[in-house]
Amino acid sequence: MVRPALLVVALVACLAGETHASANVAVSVNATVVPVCKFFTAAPVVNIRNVGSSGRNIDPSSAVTATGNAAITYRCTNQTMPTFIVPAAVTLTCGGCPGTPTMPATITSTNNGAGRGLGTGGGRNRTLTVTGQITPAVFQNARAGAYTGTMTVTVTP
Amino acid sequence: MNAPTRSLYCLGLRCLAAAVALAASAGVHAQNCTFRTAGSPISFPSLDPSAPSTVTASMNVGVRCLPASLSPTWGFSGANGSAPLRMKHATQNAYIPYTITATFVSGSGANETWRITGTLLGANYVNARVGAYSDILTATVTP
Repeated sequence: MVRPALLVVALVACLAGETHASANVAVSVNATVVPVCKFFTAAPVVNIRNVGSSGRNIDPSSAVTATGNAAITYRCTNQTMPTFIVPAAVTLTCGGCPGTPTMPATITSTNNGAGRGLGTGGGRNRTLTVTGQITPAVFQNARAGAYTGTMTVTVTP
Repeated sequence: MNAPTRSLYCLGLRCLAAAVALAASAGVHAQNCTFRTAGSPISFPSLDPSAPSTVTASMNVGVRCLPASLSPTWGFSGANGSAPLRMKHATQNAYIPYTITATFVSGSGANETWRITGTLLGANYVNARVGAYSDILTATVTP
């Protein structure tokens, strides 16, 4: 009576072992594409003027507001909405003038793409236009010379 | 009292013989190579499309091949296509292709360890839609 019982146990153990053996195994494969935006214009320059269509000359006798802009290209992960941080004003300094006088310029920006990113590969550029303005009230009594300033524009994520 | 016992014992022997015969018969068609362990997920690192580069992820799996002289032949298929294998976006009809390879790590015969490695090319996610992607990969070993 003992041997049949042992036999049954042995068969059950054998069958149980087989349930773990298979020629197939299922594996989940996962990845996440993160949202990111980057500028692709290395050193954009805003030349502010009220004379002609190029250069950076301001005629202080003019009543026309001096304006200039720079097109800054950027790319974002496909379907990612960019957020820009652009300063509202920047101070321009005449480094070569006696007393290093300054002039404030107001800064605005327009996201020409006005939408989500298209990807970060070639040909997927969007454009942020940054505009600087100096009003006649600011430049009409300014000392002659070249005025420069620096601002930082940031895009996230 | 002895007769029934002997009879039952003989019945047990017949069962054993049948079991052996069944096992021998099944052996003709049995897999020589099988998985010893279940697979674990293959999770790629976060994909930054602004710095696209080739990325890999892998996991190890146990394989039993008998006789030990056998080397398994691997096959792979995916829930979102097999040529190429693709991960699907969680909510959109967007895909990222990937490739899979199996390489021997250690062991032999009944106790082999293999590494399954997934590879993603930067060019395949530089313009990919933001979000999570996944696939169910089925790995097969033969014979």
